Amino acid sequence: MPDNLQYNNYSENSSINAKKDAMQKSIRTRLIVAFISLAITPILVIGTVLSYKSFSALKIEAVALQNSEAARVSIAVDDYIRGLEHVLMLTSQAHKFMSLDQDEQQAILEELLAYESRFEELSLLANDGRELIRCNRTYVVRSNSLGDRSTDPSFQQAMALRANYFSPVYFSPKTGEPYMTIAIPLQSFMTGNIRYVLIGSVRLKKIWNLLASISRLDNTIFIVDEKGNIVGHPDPSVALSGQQYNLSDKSNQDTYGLSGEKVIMATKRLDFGEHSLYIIAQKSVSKALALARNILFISLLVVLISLVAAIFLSSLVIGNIIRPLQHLTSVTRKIQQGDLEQQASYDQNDEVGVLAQSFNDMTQRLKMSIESLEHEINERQLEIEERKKAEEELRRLRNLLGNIINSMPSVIVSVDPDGKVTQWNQEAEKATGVSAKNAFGQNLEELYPRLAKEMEKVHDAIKNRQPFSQKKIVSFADGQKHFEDVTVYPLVANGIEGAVIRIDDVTNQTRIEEMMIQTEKMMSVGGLAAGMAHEINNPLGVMMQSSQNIVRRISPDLPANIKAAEECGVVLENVLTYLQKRQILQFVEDIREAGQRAASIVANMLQFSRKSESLQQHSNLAEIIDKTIELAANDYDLKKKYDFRHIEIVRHYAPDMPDVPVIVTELEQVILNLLKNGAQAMAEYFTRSPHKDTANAKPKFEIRTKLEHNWAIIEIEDNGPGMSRDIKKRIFEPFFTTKAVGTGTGLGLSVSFMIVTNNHKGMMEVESEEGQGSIFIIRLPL
Amino acid sequence: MKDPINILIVDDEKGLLRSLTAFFEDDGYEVLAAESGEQAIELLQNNKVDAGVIDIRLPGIDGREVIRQAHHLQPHMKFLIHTGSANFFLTPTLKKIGLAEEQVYMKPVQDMGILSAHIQRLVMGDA
Repeated sequence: MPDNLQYNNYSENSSINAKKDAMQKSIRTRLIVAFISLAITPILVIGTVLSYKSFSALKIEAVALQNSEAARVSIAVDDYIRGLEHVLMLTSQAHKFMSLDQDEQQAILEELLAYESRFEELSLLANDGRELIRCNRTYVVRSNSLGDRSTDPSFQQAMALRANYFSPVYFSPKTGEPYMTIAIPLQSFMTGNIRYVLIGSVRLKKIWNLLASISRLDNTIFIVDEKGNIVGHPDPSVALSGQQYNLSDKSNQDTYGLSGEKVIMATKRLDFGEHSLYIIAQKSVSKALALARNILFISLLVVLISLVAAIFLSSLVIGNIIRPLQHLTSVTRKIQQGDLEQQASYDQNDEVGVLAQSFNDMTQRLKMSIESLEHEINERQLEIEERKKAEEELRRLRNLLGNIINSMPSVIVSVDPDGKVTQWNQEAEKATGVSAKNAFGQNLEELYPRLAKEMEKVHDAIKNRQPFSQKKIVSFADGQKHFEDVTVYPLVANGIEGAVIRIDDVTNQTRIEEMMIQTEKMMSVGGLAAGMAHEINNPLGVMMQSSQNIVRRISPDLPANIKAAEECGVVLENVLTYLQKRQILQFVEDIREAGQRAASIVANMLQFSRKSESLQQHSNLAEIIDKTIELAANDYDLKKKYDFRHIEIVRHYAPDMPDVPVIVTELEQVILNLLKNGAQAMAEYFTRSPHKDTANAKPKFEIRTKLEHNWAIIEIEDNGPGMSRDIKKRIFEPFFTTKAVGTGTGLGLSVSFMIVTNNHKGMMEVESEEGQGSIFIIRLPL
Repeated sequence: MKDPINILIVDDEKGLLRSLTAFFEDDGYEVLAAESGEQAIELLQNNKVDAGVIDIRLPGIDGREVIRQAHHLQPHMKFLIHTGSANFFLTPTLKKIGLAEEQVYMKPVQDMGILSAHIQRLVMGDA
């Protein structure tokens, strides 16, 4: 069935569906129950009433039937006995019986006995009880057997009553058959005296045949006497067995019959004189009411069939009613699950059809309103997202701005027109040691005393709305000169009054600039030197090589010399002696030496312009320094003149120093140069004047390497005499020397400077105070 | 007696040419001296030369060109460069001919014996 299939499908769904199914089932059940009740109740009522009616009608009918049967039988029995009475009466009166003689009387009686077989015996008694005549059916009566029957109750009763007398039923001791005696007093018309009594014994057995002919299988009619003796019965054996049937407790109609089963019974009483007989008609209830039972059964069958038909019809009808509802429910469920495209179909214009139609309308409208809602939500969502994005952007921008301002390498401070701080970046915190929190609302002059001089200009800038800047404002701190650029931008936008002040520490920049100037100066020297080198080197070559030739050509080792001397008529040895005597060879040696020195100056000057061709290698600074110290220790000049081995050398190497890209030989040259200079200065300082401070002070180098941001730093510190500010300023200039003429070329430091700044793109500077020693600082980019 | 080594000296500085010539002759070389590149090429076309001491900056064709042509004329020839120019460097052509940095001498050369010994090494090593 499609419904069941649908249920099965639904059962896969959620508990809501289960509930719905239950609801649906209950509607269905309720409808079916109602329908069936409506259909069945009248049938049941009618059936019950009919059954009851037919039951009672049948019962009444059965009782009536029994009554009529009983009546019929009673009439028959009455006829039987009254008929015989009548016969006896007729016999006694019609033939003037009393007037006849005894023989004639006997003949008539015998004839009667023969004619009427229902008599067993006929007797004629005299009024004194003498037996006059007796005729018996079964035996011949002799006259001597006639006796006195005055004690016979029949005789006595008939005499006493002067009317016909019926005896109670009695059973013959021989045959066991029932008999009744009728005694008729014969009265004289004239006197009215009883002359005779005619007594007849009636065979009641003859009635049995009558009963048998009337009784049917399910209908039993029998006769009992006053004492309950069964006198007559269709079944002779029952009568003969001497059964009793007590009438006293069988008053009502529903009672138990002779055979013990439940019976419907009717009783008719027949009175014969003082005695009575009861005709009883019985029928077993089951048989009497069989029809009623059939009717009941049929009614039940009809009810059952009606029930089945009703169920079938009702499920058909209810199915038709429920199906559109189920369809509607399933559509609703789909809609509930969000499928608004569902439409309820309907093919009838009944209530469900109207419901489906209005449901579809509702769905349509729902769909429309949902769509418009969704549309609105989407728009709202977009708006929210945009706003969120905008807020995010704003926050990001604010962060960015804060970050930018904070990560600026400049001090950036904003002030209100009164000079109170409103903005204070990280660099400002660093420069002053005052946190932004504490700086807000303070006077800028107090926080930044170096600006005190400039505050007037700041106010002017705010007032005139004109930016103002001042470069390289000099101040002294920690014994060092500081340079700062100050720029003031008045704030003019959106009514925010005040100014932004930017302060850049340009100390380093200024120093670098100075170095750059220095470098460039030397580069131009280098360029000049390079141009000159060729022109100078040729004459120097001539000088030195000629000197070499001079010395060689006066040597006695060369055969050509001896030969030429001979040709000139001189002895070579004498010439040699002469030259020595006049120091000519010494002059030649001086020329050579001077040329050599000049050549070395030119060579050094060439360093300034030389483009370094050597490759930089990533090298371990500590190793280079150690190796150079070793070289210095073995240097002849250092060893002999400056007692290098007695200088204490303290090394502090940064353990985390990575390898640094350097031209190893050049860096060695620089370090060697610095060591040489320092050793020389310390040797002079410590020997020239016994040290003021401590007598046993010793010359000492402290050599350090440090890692600072992206720079590798080498510091070479001595405890020599130090230098004045003037000397410090010029120390890296070419040809600047403090040494005695002839002890240095004046190019060592400048060449070192060039190697570091030009060839390595590093920096080199010196920190020194007079009497405080010197620190040469080399910065190499990593 | 072994054949003396023939060398060519090119230098436009007369004093240097003279002193170099004198020194190498004293050392037993056969010396050809040229004051210019052109003269040097001419000498090379007519004489067998084992080695050359060549100045670079010359009035006409320069020392590099002299070496190139000399190598073309007499491929076995060895060279020392003797220059006063601070900016000199070996061109790929010169390197291809077989010159190395150690064969470049900056003026002034204080001891000409070094040059002599180097030439000796180059020529003997080749032989």
